Amino acid sequence: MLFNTLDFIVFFITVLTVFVIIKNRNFQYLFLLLVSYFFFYYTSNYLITLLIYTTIWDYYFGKLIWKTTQPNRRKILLICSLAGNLGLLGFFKYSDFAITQINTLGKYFNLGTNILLLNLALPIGISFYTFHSITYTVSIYRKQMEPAKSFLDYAIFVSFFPQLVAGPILRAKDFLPQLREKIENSQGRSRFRQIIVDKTNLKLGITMMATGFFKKMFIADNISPLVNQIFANSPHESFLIIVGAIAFGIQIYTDFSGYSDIAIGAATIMGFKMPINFNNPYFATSPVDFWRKWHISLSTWLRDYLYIPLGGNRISKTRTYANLLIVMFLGGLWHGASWNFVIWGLLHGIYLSIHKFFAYKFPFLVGHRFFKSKIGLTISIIITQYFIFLAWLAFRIKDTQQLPVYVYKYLVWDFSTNQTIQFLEPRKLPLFIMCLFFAMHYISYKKPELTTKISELQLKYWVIILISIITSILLLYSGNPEDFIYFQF
Amino acid sequence: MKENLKIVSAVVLAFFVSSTIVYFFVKDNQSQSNIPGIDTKLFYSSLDPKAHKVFLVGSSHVASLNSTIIQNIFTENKANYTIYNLGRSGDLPHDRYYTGELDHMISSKPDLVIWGLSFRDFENQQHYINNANSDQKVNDNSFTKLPDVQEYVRKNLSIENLVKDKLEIYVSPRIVTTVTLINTLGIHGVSDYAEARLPFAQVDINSIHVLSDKNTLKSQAEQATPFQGIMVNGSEEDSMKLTIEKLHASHIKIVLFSTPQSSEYLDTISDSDKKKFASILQELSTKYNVPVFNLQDQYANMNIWHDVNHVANFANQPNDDIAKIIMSEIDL
Repeated sequence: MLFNTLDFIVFFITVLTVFVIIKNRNFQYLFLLLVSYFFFYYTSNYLITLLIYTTIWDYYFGKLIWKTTQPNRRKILLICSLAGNLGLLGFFKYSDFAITQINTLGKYFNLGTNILLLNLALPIGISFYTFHSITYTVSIYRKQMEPAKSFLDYAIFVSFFPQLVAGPILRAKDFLPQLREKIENSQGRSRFRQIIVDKTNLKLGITMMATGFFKKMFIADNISPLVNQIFANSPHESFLIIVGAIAFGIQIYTDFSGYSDIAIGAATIMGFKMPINFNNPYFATSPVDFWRKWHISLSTWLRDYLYIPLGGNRISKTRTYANLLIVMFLGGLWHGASWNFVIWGLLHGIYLSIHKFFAYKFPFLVGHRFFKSKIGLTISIIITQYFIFLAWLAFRIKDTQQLPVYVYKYLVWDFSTNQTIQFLEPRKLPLFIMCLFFAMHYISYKKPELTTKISELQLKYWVIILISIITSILLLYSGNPEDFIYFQF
Repeated sequence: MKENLKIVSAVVLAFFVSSTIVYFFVKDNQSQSNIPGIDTKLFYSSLDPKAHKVFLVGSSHVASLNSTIIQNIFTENKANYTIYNLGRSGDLPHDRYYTGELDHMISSKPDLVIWGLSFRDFENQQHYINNANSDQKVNDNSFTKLPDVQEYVRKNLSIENLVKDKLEIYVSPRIVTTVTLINTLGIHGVSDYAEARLPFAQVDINSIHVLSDKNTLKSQAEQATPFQGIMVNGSEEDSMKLTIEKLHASHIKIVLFSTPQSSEYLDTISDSDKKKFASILQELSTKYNVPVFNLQDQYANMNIWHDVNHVANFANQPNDDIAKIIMSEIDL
C-alpha cells in the first residue's frame, strides 16, 4: 500500500480508531499483526508467503541458537539462518541478473550457454525485511538479546507496517523490548505497555507525516518529470547533466526521506520509537560524514553486520580499503540487481577509501582548524557534494555504456549553455522547487529539532502550518500518486 | 482524550480548509484560463466560441508536433488565432466520431480543423482484437494469484475514482497551478504553454531530443508490432467520411495531411499499403473537396526524429510547414 494514497489514509485512521476503542493489549498486538499483513498483502498478494516464511524461519532459528551452548553448533545454526534469508533474497532478486551474466560470459567465450530467465516477480520490501530478520538471529548469536517472548512479538517486529516496505531497517534488540515495556505502578490488568495514542506523540507523529508527505508529493514528485526528461535521452551539455544529477539527488532524497518521515511519524503516533534515517546528508563534509547522515539505518547495518565482522579498520591499511570496497560493493548490489548500482556502491567505496588514505597519510588534516572554519566547512561541503552527485548519475543511469559519457561531461565541463538554457527556460517550476529544497535543507541543518518544535506549537499556529503544507501538496498534485523509488529495492 | 480530539479536529479542519482553497482555486482558474482538464467535454466548453482558433487533430504523430512553434509564427504575423494541438496517443477517427467528441469540437466553433492521418489510422484492427482476446483468456486461466483486494477497492470503494467520476470539475491541480503561475507571472515558456494547449497527450511526448542514431531508429522500427495492413472501406475510413460530412454541415473547414514519417518507419510499410493509403486520401479529397497535403515523406531522412514514429519537439521544419498550410487555408 502506498503511503501517498487515500487508501493508506483510510487504512491508518481505521487502525488508530480500533486501537483507541479496544484497549486490550493482546487484542491490540494481534490486530497490529493482522493489519500489517493486510498492508503487505494489499499490494504484494501471494508474495506475503515469503514474509511469513522469513518470520517462521528466523523465529525458530533464533530459539535454537539461544538454546545451544556449543559454539560450533551455534555458528552452524546461524549460517543456516543466514542462508535461508540470503538465499531467498538472492533467488528472488538476483537470479535473473546472475543468469544474464552467465549467458553473456558464455557468449563471450563461445560456450553456447543460453539459460532461460526465470522472470520472477521482485517481492516488495524483501531487501528490508530480510535485513530486519538478520539483526534478530545475529543479535541472539552475539548474546546481545534474548529471543522474542512469543511468536506474535517477533512477527510484529518483522511485519510492523510503517517500516515494512522501505525501512528504516529496525534492529530487533531496539524494537522487541518496546513491545514488552513494563508499566510502572500498573493499576490495569496488563503489566506491559499498551498502544496508547498520546497527545504529544500524536502531534509529533502527524507533523512528521505531514513533512514526509510534503517532501514526497510536493518536492520529489514535481522534480521527477524534469529528471525523467533530462535522462530520457542521450548526453547533453555538461551544465544540463549537472542540473540533472542535482535534481535527481534532491528527488531521491526527498522521496526516500519522505517515506522514512511518514513511517517514523506513523510509528510515533502508535507510541513506537524508530531510528532516524537521514540527517541533512547534503551538508556532509566528507564521504564518511555523508554515510553518517544518509540512509543511516542501512549504513549502520552494513557497519555492524559486515564491515566490523570483516575486520573493519583494525587490521592492515590495505585490508581496510578492501573492506570498504567490499561493503560498498554489496551495499550497491543490495539496491538492485543491476551494474549501475554496483558502480554507485563502488564509487562510494572509492570515496571512502580515498578519504581514509588521506586520514592515514596526513593525520594533521583530521580535525584541522581550517576545516572547522566557515570557509573550510563550505569548501568541504561543496567538494563532497560534487562527488556525491556524481555518484547519483550512476544510480540513475541504468545504461552502463552511456554512463561514462555522462560522467566525463560532468567532470570535464564543455561550458556550452545553449541546450541547457533552451531546456530549462520553460521548466521554471521544478527549478524553483529545487531552490526551495536547498533553502529548507539549510534551515533544517541549522535547526535540527525543527519538526519537534513545530509539533510543540500552540494548536492554532500548528494548524496554520498544517494547512500550508496540505494546500501546497494539493496545489501541485498531478492527479495520480507516484511510487516511492525505494519500493523497487 | 480531550486533547487528542482537539488535535484530530485540527487535522480535519486543516484538510477541509486546504481542500476548499484548492477546490475554488482550481475551479476559478480553470474557467478563467481555458485550462484543459481530463474531461474532454469540459475542455471544449471552456473555449470561447467567439475566439479564432484552429484545431490540430490526430494521433501521437500529431501530438508530437509543437503547437507553440506554430503559434509563434501566427503571433509574428499578428494573426489573432490560437492553435490547439488535440493530438492524442492511440487516437483513431472512429473514437473522435463515436464518443461524441466531434460534437463538442463543433460546438466550440473552430475556424479550421487540420487532421493528420497516417497508415495506422486505417490499419486492420482484427489482429489487435484477437490479441486482446487471447490475453484475456490467459488471465482467465491464471490461478497463481490470491484474491486481489487492491483491485476490488479500486473498482468499488476508491474515493479517488469517486472524486474523478462524480465531480465534473476534476482536473489535475498541478496543470491548473502551473498555468496560473505562468499567466500571473507572465512567464511564457515553450513546454509549459504546450501543456496548456496540448490537452489530451502525455507531456512526455514533448521530448526535445533528436535521436540521431539511424541504427537505433531502425531497431525501433524492427521491434515494433508489425503493421497489419491497410483496411480499405473499413470502419475508420467510414468514420473519417462521416466526420468530414458533419464538419461541412456545420460550416467548419477541414483539411487533411499525411503525418510526417521517418524513413525507417516507411521502410516497414509495403508498397501496396502505401498505395492503398494514398488512394483513401485521394478519395476523401475528391469526394468531399477537401485539401490534402502530403507531409509523409517530406522529412523522412532529416535529423529531426525523437523516435521512429515521432518528430522531436523542437523540429522546426514540419511545424513551419503546418503553419504555412493553416495560414493559406484561412486566407492570411
